[in-house]
Amino acid sequence: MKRSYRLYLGKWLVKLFCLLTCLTFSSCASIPRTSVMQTGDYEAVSNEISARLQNSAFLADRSPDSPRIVIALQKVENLTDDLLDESAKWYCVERIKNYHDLGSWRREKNIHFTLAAERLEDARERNNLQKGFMNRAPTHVLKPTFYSVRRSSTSGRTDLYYCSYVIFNLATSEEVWSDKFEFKRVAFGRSWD
Amino acid sequence: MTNKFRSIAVLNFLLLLLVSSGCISNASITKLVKQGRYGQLRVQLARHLESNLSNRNYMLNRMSLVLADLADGQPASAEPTVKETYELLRTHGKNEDFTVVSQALLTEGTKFWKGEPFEQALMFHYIAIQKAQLGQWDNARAAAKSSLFRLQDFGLNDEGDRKSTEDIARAAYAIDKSGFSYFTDNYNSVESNFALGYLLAGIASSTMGREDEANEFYDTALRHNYELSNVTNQLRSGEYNTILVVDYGFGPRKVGYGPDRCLSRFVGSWDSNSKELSVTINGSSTNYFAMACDVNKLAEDHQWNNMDDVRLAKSHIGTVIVAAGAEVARRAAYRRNRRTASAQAVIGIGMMIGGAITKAAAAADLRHCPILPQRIYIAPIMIYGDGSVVSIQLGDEDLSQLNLTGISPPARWKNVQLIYTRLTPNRKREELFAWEVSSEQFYGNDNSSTQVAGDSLPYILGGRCVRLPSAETLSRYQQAGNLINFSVNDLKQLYIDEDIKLAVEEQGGMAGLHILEGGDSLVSPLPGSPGYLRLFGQDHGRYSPRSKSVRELKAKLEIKQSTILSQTS
Repeated sequence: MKRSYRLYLGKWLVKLFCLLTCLTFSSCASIPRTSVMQTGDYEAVSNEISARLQNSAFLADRSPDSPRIVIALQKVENLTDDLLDESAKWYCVERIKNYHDLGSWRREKNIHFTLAAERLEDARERNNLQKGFMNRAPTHVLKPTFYSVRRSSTSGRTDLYYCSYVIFNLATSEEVWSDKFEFKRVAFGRSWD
Repeated sequence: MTNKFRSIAVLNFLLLLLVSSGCISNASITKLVKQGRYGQLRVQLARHLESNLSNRNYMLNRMSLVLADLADGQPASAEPTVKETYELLRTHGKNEDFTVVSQALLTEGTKFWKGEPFEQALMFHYIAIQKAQLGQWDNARAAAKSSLFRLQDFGLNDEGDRKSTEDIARAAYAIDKSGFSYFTDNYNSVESNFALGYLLAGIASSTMGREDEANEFYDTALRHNYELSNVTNQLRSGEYNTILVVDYGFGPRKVGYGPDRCLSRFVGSWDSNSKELSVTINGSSTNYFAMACDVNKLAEDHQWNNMDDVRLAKSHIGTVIVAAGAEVARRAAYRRNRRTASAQAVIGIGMMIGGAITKAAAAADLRHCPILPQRIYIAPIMIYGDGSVVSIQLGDEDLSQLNLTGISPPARWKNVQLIYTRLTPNRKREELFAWEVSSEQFYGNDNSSTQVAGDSLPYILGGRCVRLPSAETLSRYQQAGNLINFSVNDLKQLYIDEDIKLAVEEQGGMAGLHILEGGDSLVSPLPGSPGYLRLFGQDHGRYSPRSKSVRELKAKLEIKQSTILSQTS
C-alpha cells in the first residue's frame, strides 16, 4: 500500500474515531436519570395552555362590551408524586395572564385579574396591600391542577404528567373554559453496577 | 529535639488541624443534640457540608442538616438542602418493581449514595414535615407518598426468623458464586410497612380535602400498626387543627459483623418500648398517643437495609472461603515437600499481605445518620387560644418533657398547622434544662402574640423585643413612648448598622445563629420547636452593640430610663 494512501486512510480513521467518540460521550451524557419535571416543562405547559386559551371559544365570544369579569389566579395544585416549587406553581399560572399585557385583556375582552385569596391574605398580614386591591371581588377563578401517573419497566421509569387548567364562574360553579396538556418524563437505567 | 523533627511535628500538627477542621465528627453532632443546641449544630453542619457527590457523607451530612434545621424551628432555612436531597433521592433509584436501591448514577457517571432504605424513607418523611410547616400540604403529600416505596423481602431463614444480611450474603454465594442473580431473583416485592408515611400522607390528603384518599392511607397505616387506632380515630373525627410530630431518642447505630466485618447491621442505642406520649393543653385534660414509628425495628429488618453492601459482602465472603481453601491446600503441599518450605513461606507471606489488604477493603462502611430519632409520635390536637402551652412527656420519664409555649391556632386561611419538636435525648443529666419546662416567654417575637415585659424596645437597644422592624413593631414601641421620632426606615437602619440580617434570603437561604445566641440573624424559629424554646424560654443577657450609632442610642435610652425611674421613686 502506498505511503500517501496509508496517510489518507489514517486521517479518515482518526476523524471517524473522533466522531464516534463524540457521539458516544454525548449520548452517555444525555441519558436522563430523573423523571422529575424540569423548568423547560413548566415553560412548555404554560406556552401551550396560553395559546389554547387565546384560540378558545370562551375568549373568541368576548368583546370590549362583554360583562366585566374578574379572574382570580390560583397557584397550581400539586397532585403529582413530585415536589413542585412555590415559584414554579405561580409561574405556571402567571404566564397565562402575562401572555398579553393587562391593558389588552381589559380593552379587548373586558377581563381583569386579581390576587388569589392566599396571596391577598399574605399581603394583608404584611401590610403590603395597595388600597385598590382590597376591594377587588373576583367573579371567576383560574384553577390549574397537575397530576402524574408512574410506569416502570426493565429499562427505566416513566412519569406521565397531566396538567389541567379550568376557569370557573364563582357564582354558578359553571366551568366556562378548560384545557389540558400531557407530557412524559423518562429516566433510564438501573441504579447500581 | 532537632530542627528537623520539630518541623515534622509542626507539619503533622498543622495537617491534623487542617483535616479535623474540614469535618464535624459524629461525637460533636450528638453532643450538641444532647444539649438541644440546634442553632450551633445547624451552623457547623452547613459550614462542613461534604461536596464530593460520590462520598457517602454527601447525603448523610445533608440528612443531619435538615433534621437540625427542623429541630431549630427553621424550615425555610432547610429549603436549599431539601431541594438538593430530594433531587438525589429522586434520581432514578428504583428497580422495575418499585423497590428502592441505595446507590445511583448521575448523568456524569458519578455514583452516589442515597442512604439505607429506612434512611431514605425517613428523609422523605422529614421533607414532608418541612413542606407541611411551610403550609405546602400538596408537596407534603407528594413527599410522604414518596416514602412508601416497595421493599425487597428475602423472607425467613431455616430457623423461621427473618433473614439477616449475613444469611442473605451466604445464600447468594451458595447459589451463584460469581454473579448477583440471587439479589434479583430471590425476593418478593412487598408493600411498605412504613406506617408513619401512610399517616402523614393521609393527613396531607385530608388537609387538601381528599377524604377518601386519606381514609385509605389511615386504613393501611392501621394494617401495619394496629396500635395507632387512637391516632387514626382522632384524625378521622376531624377534631384537630394542629398536628404535633414529636421525635425522641437517638436512632440505631451501624456496626460491622461477619467475616472481616464485611457485613453491617443496625443495633439500637436507645431501647424500644411501648410508652405513649402524653399531651396536655393549658394544664387541662391529657391525651395519650401511641408511637407511629420505631426506627430500631425498622433498621433491624433486612428489607430496610441496603443490598448494595450485601452484594459486596457476598463477594468478600466468597474470597474468604476461597482463601481458606487455598490455605488448606498450601499446608498440604508444604507437608508433602519440605524442601520447598522457603518457597511456601514466601507464598504464605504473600497470602497474608493480600489477606490483610482484602480484610481492610472488605470492612463494611459504617457511616450512618447519627441524629435520627429512636421513635416518632404523631398527635392530632385542637388549639383554641393564642399563646397556649402544650406540655408533652414520654410515659413516666422525668427527663423527657417539654413545655411548648406560644402555641396559637392556625392562621385564618389555614385549617391545619404542623408543629415539629424533639424531646432532648439526654438521659445522663440530673435535671431538665430550664428552657424545656419554662412556661415563661422572655422575648417578644414575630411568631407569638404573647406580651412580654420589656418588649416595647428592641433587644439591641436594651429591651426584650426581637421582632422584625415593621410599621406594626414601631407602633408598639412608640405607644410605649420609645423611638417617638423614628420612621420604619430609621428602625431598619439600626439593624443594618449592626450588620444583623432580617431574612433568610439575605443569608444565602439559610438563617444563621440568632442574635440572642451571639449570631447576626433576626429570623425567629417556629413555636413548638426546641429552637424556639431554647431562644425565648430563657434569659440571654444584654446585647453589646457593635456600631457607634446603636451604642450611642442605647446609652441615651438607658439614661432616659434611669431618669424616669429616679423621678418616679
